[in-house]
Amino acid sequence: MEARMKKKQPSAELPLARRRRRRWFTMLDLMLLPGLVYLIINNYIPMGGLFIAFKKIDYSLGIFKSPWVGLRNFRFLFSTEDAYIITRNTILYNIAFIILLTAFGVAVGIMLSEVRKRYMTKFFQTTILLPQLISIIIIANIVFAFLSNEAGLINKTILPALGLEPINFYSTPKYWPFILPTVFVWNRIGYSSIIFFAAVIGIDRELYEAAVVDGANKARQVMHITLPMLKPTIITLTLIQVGRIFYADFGLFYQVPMNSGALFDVTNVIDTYVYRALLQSNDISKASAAGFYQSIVGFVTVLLTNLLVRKVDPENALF
Amino acid sequence: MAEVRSKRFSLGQLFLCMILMIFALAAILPFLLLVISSITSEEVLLVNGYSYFPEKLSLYSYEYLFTVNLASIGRAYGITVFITVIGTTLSLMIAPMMAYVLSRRDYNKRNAMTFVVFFTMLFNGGLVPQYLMWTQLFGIKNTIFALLFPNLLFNGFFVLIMKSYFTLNIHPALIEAAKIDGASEFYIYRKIVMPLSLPILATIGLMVGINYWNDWMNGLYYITKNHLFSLQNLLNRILVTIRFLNEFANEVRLDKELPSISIRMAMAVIGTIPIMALYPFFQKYFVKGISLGGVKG
Amino acid sequence: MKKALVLILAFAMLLVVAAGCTQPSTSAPTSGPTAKPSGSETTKAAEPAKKIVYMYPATSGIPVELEKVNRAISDYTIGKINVDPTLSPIEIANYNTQAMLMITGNEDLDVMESMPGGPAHFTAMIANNQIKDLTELGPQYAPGIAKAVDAVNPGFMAGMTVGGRVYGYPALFDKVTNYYISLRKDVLDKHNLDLTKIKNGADLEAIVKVLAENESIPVLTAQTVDGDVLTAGTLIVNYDNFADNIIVDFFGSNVAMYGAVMGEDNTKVINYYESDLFKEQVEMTRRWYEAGYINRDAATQTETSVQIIAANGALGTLGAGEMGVETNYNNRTGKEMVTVKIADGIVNSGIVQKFVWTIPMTCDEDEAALKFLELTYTDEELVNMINYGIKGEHYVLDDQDRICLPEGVTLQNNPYNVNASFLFGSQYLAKVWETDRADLRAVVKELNKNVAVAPLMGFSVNTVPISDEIGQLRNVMDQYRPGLVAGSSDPAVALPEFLARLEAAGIGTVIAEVQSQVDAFVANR
Repeated sequence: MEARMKKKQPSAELPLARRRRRRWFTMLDLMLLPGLVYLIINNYIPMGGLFIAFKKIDYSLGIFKSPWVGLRNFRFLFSTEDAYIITRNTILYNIAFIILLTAFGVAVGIMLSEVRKRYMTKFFQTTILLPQLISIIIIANIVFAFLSNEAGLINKTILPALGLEPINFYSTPKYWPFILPTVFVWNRIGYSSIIFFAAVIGIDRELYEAAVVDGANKARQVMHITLPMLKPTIITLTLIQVGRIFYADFGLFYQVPMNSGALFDVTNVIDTYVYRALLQSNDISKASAAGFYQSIVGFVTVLLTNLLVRKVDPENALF
Repeated sequence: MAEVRSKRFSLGQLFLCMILMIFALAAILPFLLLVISSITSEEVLLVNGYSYFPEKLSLYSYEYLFTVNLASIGRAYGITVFITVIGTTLSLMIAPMMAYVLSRRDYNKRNAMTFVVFFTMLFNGGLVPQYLMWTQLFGIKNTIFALLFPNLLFNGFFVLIMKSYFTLNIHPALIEAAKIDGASEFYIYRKIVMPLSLPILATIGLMVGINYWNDWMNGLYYITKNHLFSLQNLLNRILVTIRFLNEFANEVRLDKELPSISIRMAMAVIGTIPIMALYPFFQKYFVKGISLGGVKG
Repeated sequence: MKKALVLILAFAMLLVVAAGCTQPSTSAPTSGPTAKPSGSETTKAAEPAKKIVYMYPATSGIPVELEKVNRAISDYTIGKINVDPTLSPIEIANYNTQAMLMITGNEDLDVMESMPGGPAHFTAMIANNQIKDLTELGPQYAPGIAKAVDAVNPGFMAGMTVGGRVYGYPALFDKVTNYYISLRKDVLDKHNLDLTKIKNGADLEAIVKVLAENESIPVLTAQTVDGDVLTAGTLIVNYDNFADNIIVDFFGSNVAMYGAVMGEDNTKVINYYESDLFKEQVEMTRRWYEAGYINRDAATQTETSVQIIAANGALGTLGAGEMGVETNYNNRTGKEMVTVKIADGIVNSGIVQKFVWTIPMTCDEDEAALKFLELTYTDEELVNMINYGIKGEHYVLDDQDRICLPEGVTLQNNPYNVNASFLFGSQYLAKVWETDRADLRAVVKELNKNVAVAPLMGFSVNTVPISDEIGQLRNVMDQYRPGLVAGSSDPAVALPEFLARLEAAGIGTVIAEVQSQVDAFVANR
């Protein structure tokens, strides 16, 4: 594996090497190597398997000798009336998720860093991380505990106490564009806020001290020091998420609405559609084709976005 | 003057804490409902609905889980702790080093290699090719390595997050200075960069650790022998089996009935509490990061 | 950037080739990289026992003392047929995925059971060429299996053929599914209601109405998680007169509900959802829902009716059940129930194809595999070992030869708890639990002998030409069906929408394809 990798590297390096005369394999390369080897094994070798997307698997022949079928396996993604809805839902939710998670993550991260009492910081950090530890099946059950018609906390306790009519959440689509982002942010804010918290406390204290001397209040410090210092992290995170804009969080869209058909207009996304479509056949070629399609679109989107970032702010472009 | 300042200060702090408290409560209250419903008798759960103040408590779920699987749960905890510790350690040995190299502005393959890392986040070969590779090329099926290596060790996301942290917080001048003193690249990384990066290392370590702790997919695909079940794998097997059997109640005719609802909640509690207990261990590194960061300037 | 792209593509290509080279013999079962150690040893002297792997879904976890029982079984079968089996239970929820991975990876796997509802379904595995044609192999190595199946009902083997070739053997258990209404005895008595007298839908509704008006718990809930409150499975209850039911053959659970044949001696395939029957059903359900007779969570319920009734979430359910459901329901719900049969079921291809024993392509010991499989249909001692473990250790027998757990052992802490005797070969060879009637197997066998067989028994749909449409239809079905059959969506609005969406998703193509397959089947019969 390593030998193969070394052989490939020079081709990428040659034009860059013009800048400085260097040995082609340095200490830095060596330090990069273990990680690279892992990514090659875990990610790149299986990527070779994407060719399955273009085959019809015949198990008596084995996957390598199965016949090629061109783009046949992609057809089921586009020949459906649902194509528009699932694409729209996937993209809109993802955009909402990126914005909300970044906004809340930054806000909570900064707030956490401003808390002076250490035990309070610990308390908040621990509690906010809590939802991140629960599996999505369990989260679906918690949501159900709140929203269910017959047993839910809201319909059984809260709404009657306020003298309001019960709401049938699982058959009323209009609530879900709010419920899903709420659950998403609730679930993910732990990681997000900790990443930003770590980034904030990594900022050089001298910058703030200088600002205090200049008479800047907290708000100005945040605006002029903290946020600009967080910008690279925000851009990196956003680009990463943009690359996955065609992938939806399956558990969130399948388990949390309890697979309720009445909600499909607002909960059906590419991943849930593909899951249902292949549930009975589990056609690995079609599954592979769907993944390939999602990746390609994400890839193009992220290249364009990165290009944009490069134009505006070359220092922070991802590559 | 000093008094006025401190007073304004604590008012601001109070406000801050109140806002954070809302987030904290939003996180705790549903979790509390989970804990309480795990000890609510199932009957009360369906008749009166989910409630913070149930009429009748019952420890049946825990009894069930522990009488069925006392030996296996103990063993599964052991496996989980083992893979979490080993996996996180390995991860922190490899991934930050890679991220650091990528953050070096003078590294000639920086863009290309960053792209190589980023690309892994866009494309994946899917389950089948990955399974075939790990089982046939490396033969990890039904070994402990199956719980350590596929997907979990680290991913592009962690590398890129660390890279952006290093880019921002490690001054090139610092490295130049060390180089002039004759330090090797690896020495610089070990002795200068790492101590300055404890907050991000703790963050990534925490996330990798949680991923190992919570993982059950690897176990599901690569482990079929019960002596290697990790905790979450064991719990999830019970969970998905119950779920599946409910879905196929017409097809599958069990000799005896299986238990249900509150079990799930109890399993979530059993799986979550221990890692919460480990969390404070990580927190001290967030603090250390601050003080060392202060020293460096 | 461009360079990086080239680099990556080059890498990917290289790796495809590399991956291809490392496993050149994936398709050749006899010399695959994971070929069994015994493969090379068999040629040597002294006839060592042939090793095989026997895979089945585990419904209650993987038993702690599996290996111990496995050793006892090996000792027994080596002595008998010189075959050394490895029992390989896979959790049922993971069974589909694991079976697919193992076959794709050409791992050690010689005998496996198919399972309904997914890619490990019998007909799906035939369509994907994952299992062996047993038309010749079966009679050659294991003639006893077909004999055992025919002894129960000679019609069952017809469901094992596709295009005239035999691909497997059905696990022998009770295939007779009748339809029942079950309500709690205490509330019926409280309001002086007699469930046993009902003759039609109106009678039932009168009872349900009284209960709904006087009890705080919803009266009916769906039997399973599919949301069906007033119908179940493959037979439609006639509401005007329960005695006069309408046979609707949906062919098999794997393609359930997309096309159907209605009535006897009819071979015209129809779209069931367009039928008046379905319209009446959903309109009635809706009325009941609005009147408050039905659990309002039925469309999204994640528990079965048994669990919901046990926990006081509903008073009863309507649905399918096998022999002994009257007493069974009492045991399982822990409540005293009144259970009345409202319709007789039929056996169709789908029912016999639910759990089928097959020989996957990965098998390289056809003879040993089939011989062992034969033993699970003919050898009482082996079947009971697989089901209940070692006598005296995992179970004891009472004076009527029924299974009891030993002193101090409960179902939960039993180190060999399999809890699914329907899975293994012939259930008629397995002893019954102490809670069952002693002659249960004999009674069930008699029932199965006399059960009505669907007009198109033996026909299964080949889904390969319509797989795209089925994928789309599945999405439409999931969207509309649960709400309609659980009453939570209004059929006046949702039903026409549902039909239009089915049309757009290609139900016409599916029906036409199924029709042509049915015609071909009938012509060849």
